[in-house]
Amino acid sequence: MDGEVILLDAYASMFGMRLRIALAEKGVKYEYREENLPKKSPFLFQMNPIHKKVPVLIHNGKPICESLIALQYIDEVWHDKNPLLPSDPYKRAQARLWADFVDQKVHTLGRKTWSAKGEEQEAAKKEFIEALKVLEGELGEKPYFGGEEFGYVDVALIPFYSWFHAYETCGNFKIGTQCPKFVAWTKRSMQRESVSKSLADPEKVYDFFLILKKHFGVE
Amino acid sequence: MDNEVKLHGFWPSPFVYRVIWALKLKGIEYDYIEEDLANKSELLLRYNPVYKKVPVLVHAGKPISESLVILEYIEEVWPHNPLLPKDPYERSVARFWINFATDKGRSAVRSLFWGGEDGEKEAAEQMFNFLKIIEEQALGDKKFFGGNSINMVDLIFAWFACWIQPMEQLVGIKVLEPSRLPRLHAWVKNFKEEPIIKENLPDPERLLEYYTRMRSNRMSKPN
Repeated sequence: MDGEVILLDAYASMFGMRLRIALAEKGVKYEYREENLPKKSPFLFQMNPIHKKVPVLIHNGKPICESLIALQYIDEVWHDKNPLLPSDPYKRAQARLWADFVDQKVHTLGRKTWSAKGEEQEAAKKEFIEALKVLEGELGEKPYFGGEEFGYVDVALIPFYSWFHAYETCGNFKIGTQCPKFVAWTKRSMQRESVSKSLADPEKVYDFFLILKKHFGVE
Repeated sequence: MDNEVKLHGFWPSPFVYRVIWALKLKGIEYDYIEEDLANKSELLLRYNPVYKKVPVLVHAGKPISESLVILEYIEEVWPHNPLLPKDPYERSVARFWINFATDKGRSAVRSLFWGGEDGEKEAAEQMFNFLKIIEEQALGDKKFFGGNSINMVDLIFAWFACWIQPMEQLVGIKVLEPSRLPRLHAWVKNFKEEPIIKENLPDPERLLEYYTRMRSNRMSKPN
């Protein structure tokens, strides 16, 4: 049986969305607990004392932190349904590499498009688009990064789509017009129920983002 | 079918050594190709077009880059002498510490050794706090991070066993003090005495020379 599964999360967290999608793909019943960021609960501090961040997956009382680690855990424990990582070790290595690229480039640069100023911000916007183009190259003619099947890299990447409206508004640039193949992939992914039900509404993300911006003292 | 294993590396790199140790711990034969990072080979640029870095493992003609990805690949293809726990939860804990070392460890090292003299005190405190967490929560009372034998977490923390000494000498700050971090200090000794590790370590004098040169190059660059 599934055991007790709790997801400590925040609605707008793209990392939390990854786990929501994965759990839905696997048909796992879980309890969703919303953290009221930027205010953090004692329970979160208890479950993730080192990083004090969401999401935290708690399975039978044991916490698993860091979204890509939790994604792999979910894939390993509930391995019989909708596998996210391919079975071939070389293809698994490529999937891990691209998921790491998403964290290193898409997340870091996306963040800079609103937190940086002037020249640094302009450079971040340019590099962000370049990173998406690299991903477009990797996608090629495949329907998903996982090939014919929606997979690990798709799950890792699609939540950032809900933040594009916030990035575009704050950074004053358009992403879709520059990366049409990427947009086609997002539309295809959004047709999956696990994705459409898990992704936060871009307007709500923008509202949350404004609170975050104020909290970090960025004008 | 060509099942040859090749490793493109650079002799001072701890990231390359992780892969060397993993291959040797599993008894895998491989060819080593030394790369001159100032003058990268065509092959390296072809194998790792995105990051253009070492290590790159080439197995049966197919390249894999990024040391952590390479280690997971080696573990999956050659599962004997395992470097990760079998239990999914225990494995997620191991990966957590690997991640922690990679993120927080790297920034602590950068601040202390490449940060310059201003803020050196804060950087040393940051480094100590990082190591204290490692000692208390990742290592605990175990001989190795992997328990009685070395595992992937030990290979990742190896930077603190073997590469920290030349840095400490250069900056004139002792980080791994036996009185402040006794268990970690003991781990360093145990790790370096393991046969496969002992036989595969960079020459400490050569490493000091390399870091001295690198540090003076970095420090002389205008901000």
